[in-house]
This record gives sequence, C-alpha cells and structure tokens, in this order.
Amino acid sequence: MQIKHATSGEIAVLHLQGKIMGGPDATTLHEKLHELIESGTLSVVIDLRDVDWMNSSGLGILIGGLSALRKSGGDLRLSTVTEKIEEVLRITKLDRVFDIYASIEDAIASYE
Amino acid sequence: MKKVIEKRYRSRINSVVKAERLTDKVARQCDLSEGTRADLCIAVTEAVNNAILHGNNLEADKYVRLKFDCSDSSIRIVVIDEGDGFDVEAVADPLSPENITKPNGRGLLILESLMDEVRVKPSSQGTRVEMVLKKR
Repeated sequence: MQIKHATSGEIAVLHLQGKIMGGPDATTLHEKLHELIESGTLSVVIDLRDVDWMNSSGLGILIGGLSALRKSGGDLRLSTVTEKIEEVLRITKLDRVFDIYASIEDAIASYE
Repeated sequence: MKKVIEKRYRSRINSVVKAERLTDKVARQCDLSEGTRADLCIAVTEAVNNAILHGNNLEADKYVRLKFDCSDSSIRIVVIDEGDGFDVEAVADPLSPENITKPNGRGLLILESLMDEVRVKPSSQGTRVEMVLKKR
C-alpha cells in the first residue's frame, strides 16, 4: 500500500493505493493518521479510489483514526470508495459510521 | 481438475503479505473473476492475520499452515494455527451499538459474509478455520 499526502487549506487528503490487509502497511497508515493528529491537522479525507480491497485490519485502522480525530474535535471522511470496499463497509455497517463522498472535492467541501 | 497447494508461515507480521501473494496466484490459476479473487484474498488475509496475531500471539516458534484445495466447482481453504484455541461463542457481536466503533472484532463476520461455508474448530492444539468458496 502507498500513501500520498496532499493538503487543501487545513484539510489533509490521504490518497491510498493498493490493498490494506494488515501487516507492515497497516502500521504505516496508523502512524500517518496519528502524526496528523499530533500536528494539529484534524480534518482528514481518505481517498480510496485506488484501493482494490481492505480487510478488517484496514477497517480497524480507519475506525481507530476516526475515533481519535472525533475525540480531538476533528473528523475523517472517505471519498471515492470502490465497489469491494463499499461491500465490506456495508457488511460491517460502518457505512453508517463514516461520512462517505462521491469525490475528493465533495469530501473537502463538506468541511466548509 | 484438482489441485492442492500447501504452505507454512512463521508467526511474523509480514507473513500476511506472503500469504496474500500466494492467494492471488492460486485465485488466478483457478480462473476466479476479479471480484471473487478479492473475496478470497480478503478472507484468507483475515484468517491468517487472526492466526498470527490472536492464535499464535506472534510467537516466533509457532507456525500457521495455509492449504488450498481447488476443484472445478470450488476452492476449499484451511488455515491452522498452533495457539490455545478460543471460545467462538464468546466473540462479541461487532454490529451491536456498543461494538460498532471498536477497531477490531470484525474478521469472522467478514469471512462468513464473503465465503459460502465457514467452519471454525478451536482446540487446545490450535484453531482450524475451514472455508469454501464456490466458483461463479
């Protein structure tokens, strides 16, 4: 999995690429999210258009990041989820927990 | 056509990546569609992660066995760890309101949703997870 970090004003946009299955990659994403919180960046968008699939380890990191950000007064919003990830979010009912947007632009605009 | 592939992994965090590579290779050899291939990879990485982290507790001298049994109509997958087993009935419902935002506990739910059959047999010698994915 690869992570590209961009910013739009005070919003961090993380573009993920590959598969999120646990192992060393999952640690990298977990650390990245906590690095953002520690630096005071509390509005985060995760762009999932290039993520083929994720398992419960990936979901766990996203939900952990969401909880930590909301506790600090921020949020983590998802954009452009693929069909397979949408299915996993639906199975676990996390589609009711995350705010999910059709595009990065919509997700960024939702913070305004 | 019947094909059996078996591999043993050390209880290391990056073994799941190796298991995923093998799973993707097996799925391609078995001519699974892209969506079904992803289902298989998600399920196997769930089971292998659980075996490494919760079954074997990352103990270096314990192994995880992964076996694929491919036929014309289905793939049977077996994942066995060397841990102490666990109480399946005691696994908390990840969909209940008090658990929905917890970071873990969704693995079994995902396995049961994506696979056609799932059987979990814990014992004091380790846990055996057997799954069947029908070709479609």
